[in-house]
Amino acid sequence: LLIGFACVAAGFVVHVSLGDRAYVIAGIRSADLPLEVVLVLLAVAGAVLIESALQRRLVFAAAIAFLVEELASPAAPTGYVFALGLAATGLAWGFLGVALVTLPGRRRAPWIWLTALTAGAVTAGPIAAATWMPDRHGCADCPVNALAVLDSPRWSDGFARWGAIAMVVAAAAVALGSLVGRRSFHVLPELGAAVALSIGVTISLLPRIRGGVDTVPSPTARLLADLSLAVGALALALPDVQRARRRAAIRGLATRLAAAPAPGRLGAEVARAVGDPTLAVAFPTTGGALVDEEGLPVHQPGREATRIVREGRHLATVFHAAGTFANDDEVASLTRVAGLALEHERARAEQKAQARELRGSRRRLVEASDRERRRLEHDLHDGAQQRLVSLLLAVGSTRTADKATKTALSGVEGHLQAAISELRTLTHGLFPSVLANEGLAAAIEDLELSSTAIVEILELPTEPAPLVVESTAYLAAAVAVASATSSVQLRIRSTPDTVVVEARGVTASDSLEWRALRERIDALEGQLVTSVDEIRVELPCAS
Amino acid sequence: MRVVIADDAVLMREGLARLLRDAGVEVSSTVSDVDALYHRVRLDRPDVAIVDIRMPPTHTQEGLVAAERLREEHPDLAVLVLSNHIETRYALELLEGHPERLGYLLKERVSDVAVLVDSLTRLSEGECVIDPTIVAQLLSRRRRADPLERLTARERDVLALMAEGRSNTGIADVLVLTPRTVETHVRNIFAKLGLQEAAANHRRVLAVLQFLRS
Repeated sequence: LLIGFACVAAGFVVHVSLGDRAYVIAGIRSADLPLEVVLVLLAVAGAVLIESALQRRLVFAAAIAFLVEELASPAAPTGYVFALGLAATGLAWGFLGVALVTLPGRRRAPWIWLTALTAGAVTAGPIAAATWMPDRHGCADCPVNALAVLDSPRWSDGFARWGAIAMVVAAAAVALGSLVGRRSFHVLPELGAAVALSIGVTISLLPRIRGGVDTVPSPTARLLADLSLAVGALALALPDVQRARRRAAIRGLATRLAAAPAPGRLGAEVARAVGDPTLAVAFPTTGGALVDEEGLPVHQPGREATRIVREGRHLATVFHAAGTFANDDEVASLTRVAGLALEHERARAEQKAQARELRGSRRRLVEASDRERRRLEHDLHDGAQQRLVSLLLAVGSTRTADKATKTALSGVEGHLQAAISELRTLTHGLFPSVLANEGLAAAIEDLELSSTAIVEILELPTEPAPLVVESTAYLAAAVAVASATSSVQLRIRSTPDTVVVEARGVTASDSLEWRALRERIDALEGQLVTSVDEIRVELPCAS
Repeated sequence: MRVVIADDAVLMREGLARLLRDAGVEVSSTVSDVDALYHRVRLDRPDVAIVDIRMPPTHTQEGLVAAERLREEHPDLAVLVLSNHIETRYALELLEGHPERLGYLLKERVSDVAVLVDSLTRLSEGECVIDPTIVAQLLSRRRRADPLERLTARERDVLALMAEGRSNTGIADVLVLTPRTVETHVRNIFAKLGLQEAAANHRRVLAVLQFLRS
């Protein structure tokens, strides 16, 4: 409707203005008129794109008023049309200025500039027009000014001049206010509009300030003013255009999510939708921590964070660049569109976090049991075994001539020897000390030296791994060697990430040892692959 | 014969010292860590140093390191390493290269003072002593194409005793054979294992060990 109206108005203006003109009010050359119409239509397009109703109407009115100025031409069909054109002079800047000053989101309305703009526009436009009859002052072809209540060039020059001064000053103040009042980068469009207003109003009205009511800007200046108007209107529309694009993207996200909500891809989809590649989505767990899609803890200190809350429940926290979301409405629309998917994703993330925690605690249990076994081994070795050996020394150095005592002592010696030997086997089974002291490779060499089966070592690890991984790899090799039928080939490889134990000549069974080994491997998130005559154990080093 | 004892466990250290003194061995000093050991060895000039394998600070293999350093600094010094564990790998590491004047015994072995004194004497004479448990373990290992299978049971006994570092006479005493019979067995063993018979006793151990290690 608006565009249609603007087109009709433009056509009318062109029709009127293409007549032979000797007297020009607005200042445009006939040849440039189509260009002016195009620029003003651009401003109308800007008006159409603005979301706020008041701003849309004001900018539209500004564009129309700018065109209507051209009606004050000798070709005007009647005196009323001519008077309308006269009265519209300068009004466009008043409308644009008011639209800018009353922008939603401005912290405080600068009422003084609002008043100055309105009063200036009314004074310089309608009041100046009402006190002046151009047909009596140099424009013989002009129709009679139907608005005129009296004819006094002195009064009309004064009104036009002081009204124009008020508007130029107010526009400059608005532009300055936009420049210093806001520090954020995101009000650039508003600043652009204010500067365009200031330039346009100055170009248009400066000649009137200098020469009075019938002094018009040069044709070039008039075109520049057209351009300023178009730029101002489009700049005002720009944030809304961006918002509209984001909304469309979020709607697109809804479509994509409805089509195939790929698990773990939600964060990337949201980032794409709102056009912020640094955006990261974190989900709250019931424990109060924030985790990512894989259940890993999220730390984004110092980043701007927006909580996504649906029906009172905290679904997610979005970390993003400053200004990604212009207002709460955008967050709300994101919540509407992606809420369900976010809820699913949150549940999944929490599940993963719990599974991760569970795996971590299983690994810590194995580590704790290893620690305990090492402590026991150490205590038995340093305590009981040392004592038994000392006792053995004491018995050995006891001299006696009594034959019965001698026999008894020799018996005691035998028992002590047996006890020491048993204790040694026990402590070694608890935790081979060589593993902790010298690492997996040395422990495997020991295993080969003390084994009764034929053990062929094809490869030994070169990289040290966490002790719990090494002890599990050792256990795998030891169990494999112990259950080998005749001979076993061991190949143990290590990288910074994994330790792999391969044993050929071994078939896994369901015995206690194998079950214990399987549990340990599971606890470390490793893998045991068995086939006929061969096993392969893969252990990740990281928890 | 003069001996220095290094062991961080005071019961063991002093018990051993008393046992040896009772048996007529001169124990010049007892120390509890390796630095004191180096110091006393330089001062006392002992024939044998008895060293616990696990000593402060880490209680892992300080004794081994000390043994190697002592042998470098004092070529005439014999070192007997004592251990609570059957650490075959340590024993082999220690004996690789120069097994003469070097021994490795489990701690409980020293309660038999006769065995201990015999070991010390043989060490100071330039032989090599290995704990029978370790020798037994090495011999019990099975391997591909085992040349030991060509030996008779008696020859295996002789080889095991050889590996412990005993002389032909010693072996003859243990197995209740004449020295001449033992010599024949030894010749057969060397022939079957493809080894040249060497003059010095420790060469035999070295040969046996190198063979066991292969």
